[in-house]
Amino acid sequence: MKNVKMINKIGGLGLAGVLALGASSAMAEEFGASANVSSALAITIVNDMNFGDLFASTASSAAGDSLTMAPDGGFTQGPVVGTNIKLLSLGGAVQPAQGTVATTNNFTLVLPPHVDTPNDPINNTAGVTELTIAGGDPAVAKLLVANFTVGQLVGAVEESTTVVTPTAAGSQSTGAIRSYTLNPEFSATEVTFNMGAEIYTDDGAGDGGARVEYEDGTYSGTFTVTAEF
Amino acid sequence: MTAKAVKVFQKSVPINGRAFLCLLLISAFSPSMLNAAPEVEQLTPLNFGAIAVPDNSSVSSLTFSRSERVEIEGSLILVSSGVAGSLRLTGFPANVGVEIDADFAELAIEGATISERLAVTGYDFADVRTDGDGSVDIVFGGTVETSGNGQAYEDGTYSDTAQFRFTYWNPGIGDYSVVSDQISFGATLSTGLNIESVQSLNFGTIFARTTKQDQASMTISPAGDLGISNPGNSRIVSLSDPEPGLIAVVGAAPNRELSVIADATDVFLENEAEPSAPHFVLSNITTLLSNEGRTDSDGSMEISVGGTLTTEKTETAIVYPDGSYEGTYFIEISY
Repeated sequence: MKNVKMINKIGGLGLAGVLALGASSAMAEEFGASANVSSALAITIVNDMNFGDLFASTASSAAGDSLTMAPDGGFTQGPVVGTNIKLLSLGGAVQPAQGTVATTNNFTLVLPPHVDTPNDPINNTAGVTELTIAGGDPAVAKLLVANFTVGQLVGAVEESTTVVTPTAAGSQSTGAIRSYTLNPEFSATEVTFNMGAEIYTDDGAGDGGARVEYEDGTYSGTFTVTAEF
Repeated sequence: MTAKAVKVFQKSVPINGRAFLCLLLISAFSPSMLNAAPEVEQLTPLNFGAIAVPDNSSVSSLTFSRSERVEIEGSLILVSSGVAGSLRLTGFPANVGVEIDADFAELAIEGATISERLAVTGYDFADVRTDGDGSVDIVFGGTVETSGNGQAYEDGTYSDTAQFRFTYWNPGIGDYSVVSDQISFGATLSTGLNIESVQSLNFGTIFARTTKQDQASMTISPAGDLGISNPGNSRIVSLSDPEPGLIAVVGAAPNRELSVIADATDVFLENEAEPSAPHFVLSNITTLLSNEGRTDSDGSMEISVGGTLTTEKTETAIVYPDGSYEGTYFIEISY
């Protein structure tokens, strides 16, 4: 390189740089981060629960008789309280409840509170669903549904069942929760499950034994099941 | 490119009959002496290219030779190469050497009243000799220096002109003559990096629940791997694929290692539509740099960003309300 003769035009560099500020090329840029929360886990009802045709005789202030419908729709007769059977399945359009949850993640079905023993008077108890005759005549005895169970899983396996049992035998459970944690199978995007329950005759205790007679008709009520992660 | 008026400093030549005859004879061999005055035309201004000045605490220099080779001393970085300057001399005497001297030049940012200046402190010329027509093309380079005073250089286009003087033997007058012209220079300072957010760090759609004692966490690696920890009843459930962040650096110096420093502080991701909702904490921000942390031959580099999302502790268990939870984090990128 050949440096030719230089003539300084202005006699030196400017004097602006008295304060050394440590100039740097570092650039701190701001970037976004986000998460979208969606807590809803919907249950789609495929079938409502239907106990079919039942024979139900006079209720009493004592504990009622019961039937247990398994998630596959099969019935088991409960113990007879007293001398005469008061509740009997007559067949008909028996159908366990069926629902689906669209997810690929583990989730938990939370059922109404569990009632420990069929010998307990259960009406007016948390977790008991009252089936009343169409029209809601309060003088007509009710059918009481409790102790829901889950089974007949499609697309999932049961990872665990949690049942909080009453602290003393024979006591009513008011906060006992039965929940099922279900683990979807590989590649499954939807889980189908059935629900059964126990159905009891009315013990009438909540109304001083006033509801003692059943009438022919359709008895219905609702219960709540939630699905959560 | 501009061609400028030429100042010609010639001694007057007395013309008499004898001299006129000689002039005619000479003109037969060298017509340019009679028909054209010496002129300097700037074909291409010397441009030192795009330069980054990451540190001006001491004088750094960049030499751009006439063959367009670059030598750097100090902490300058060549972002993109420049162009050698070129001049065309015409109308000079045939076959004479031309000595060039030039003024000092200081490149300042265009349009700014005060700016740090780049000093042109040297030039690179080959020996110059005119051809039989009294013409010659000159290619030249130069050296530019920073002030070294610690002041930051603003990015932009820097330019200046300097007077070049061309001294040659003028046989017509039997003495040296000088032709001068203002020659322009330029350089672009590009210290700042051009950074683009290609893809935000997104943890996807999730379900989340706080507890009093435990905190669930969800980690996305910069490569996109997902890990979830759900101690106790705290919960994060991933309901859709998360995406690591992606940042692009473009237009930087090629094949250059960049420093990337991720935000080390916790960042809150909050639901603006529901301020009372619990927030998430983003921490452990990590980066993965393409090409082992060096820009490619185009001066580009990609930075993948991961991090850990953690639920809050609350007095009672709370399911996070639906909505978008957002926050911002910083990443510092530099040469």
